Amino acid sequence: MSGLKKIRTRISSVKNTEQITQAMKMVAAARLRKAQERILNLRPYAENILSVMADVALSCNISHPLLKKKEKLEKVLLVVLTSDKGLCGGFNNNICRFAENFYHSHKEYELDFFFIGKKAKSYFQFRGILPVDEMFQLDKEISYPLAGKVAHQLMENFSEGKYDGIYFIYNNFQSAISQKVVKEIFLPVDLSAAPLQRQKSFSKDLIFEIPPLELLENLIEKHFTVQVYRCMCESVAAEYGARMSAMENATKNAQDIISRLTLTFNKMRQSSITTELIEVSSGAEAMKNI
Amino acid sequence: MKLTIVTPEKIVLDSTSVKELLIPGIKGEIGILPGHAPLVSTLGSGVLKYCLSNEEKGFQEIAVSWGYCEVQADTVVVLAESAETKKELDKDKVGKALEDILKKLQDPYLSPEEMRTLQQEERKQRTFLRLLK
Repeated sequence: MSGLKKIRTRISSVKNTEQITQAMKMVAAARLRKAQERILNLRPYAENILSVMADVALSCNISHPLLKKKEKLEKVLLVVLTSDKGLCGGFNNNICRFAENFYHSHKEYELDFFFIGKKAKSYFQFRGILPVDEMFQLDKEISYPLAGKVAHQLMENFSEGKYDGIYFIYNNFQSAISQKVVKEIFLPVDLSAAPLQRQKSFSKDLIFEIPPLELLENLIEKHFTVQVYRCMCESVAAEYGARMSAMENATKNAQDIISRLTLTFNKMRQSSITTELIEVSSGAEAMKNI
Repeated sequence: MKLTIVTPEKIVLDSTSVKELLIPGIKGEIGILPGHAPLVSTLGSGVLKYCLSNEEKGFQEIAVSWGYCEVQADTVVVLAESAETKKELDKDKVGKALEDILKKLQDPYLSPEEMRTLQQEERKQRTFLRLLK
């Protein structure tokens, strides 16, 4: 009988786990929808700002320290975006491994790290790498002003000549079930990515309310902020996507285990009933002969 | 004339037909009618007004702050840091936010950087109040 009881407790515990993973999946799905919307709303702004910036820079032939590529890269800041919490499949692991590979294969640079999210911090702490700066609770506090603060700080470091390049490593949100780890160079800004079809229609006798150089400076700052905000959004959306699919798998596994356990449970119960029946009937048979 | 207003967090107007537009430029208000010469400017904190082409008169108002506008052959693109309509604002909340900022501005140990952000924020909240009146 003890075997039966054990199985029964096991089934109820797996059922509890299933409920929890199911709930987590629902929560992740709801948040994912919001995060996805955020990316969609941001896209037109980001595209417009890039094309306005390219228009101004190219039509006036201005160069700016933030646009110029340094000939020799020496100090590079690596911004790594992960989540604060686990239970989201390979999301954090992939990114940390990618960053570590980058670190080992680019020994010629002097690399500094900036971690956004607790998971990257603990991963690299274990390997004896400490960040110059860190930030947590991205998924709760994500907002444009927050991105502005981070961007401002990074840009100041860059302008002061502390770094020759600022790279971001983050999970690019592709769909609810797939994310891709990408590395992007955020500073210096690369203008060649801007859409070119508008340049022809761009008028030469444009009226500038403020001097073009000043305008361009502002635009670059805004562009950079938007980029930072975008990759924060992508990372958060990708995290929810990863968590959703991880939790879905967990729920499915729990259901599998439950059905297997129920089967064993029923078999055991059946066999014990059969044994009892045999005992009763053989007892009755023995009584007849007396 | 097609007007597009976008912020990082939402799309306010997407290629909407307007017949008149008043933009709070950094050096004063800019009035734009169809056929305006190409123009690029930064925006201050202020109330942007536009008149839809299918309406006789009466301006729609949006409080914008810190952004850019680009006027190109009958299209106007406004990129604003924030854009709020009257409906989205709450008078009590705005009043309270303004009070908070003014209190913070009393602090004599503010760095010039912090001072500037707070002043920007103050102007933004004052614009909201103006819109709500």
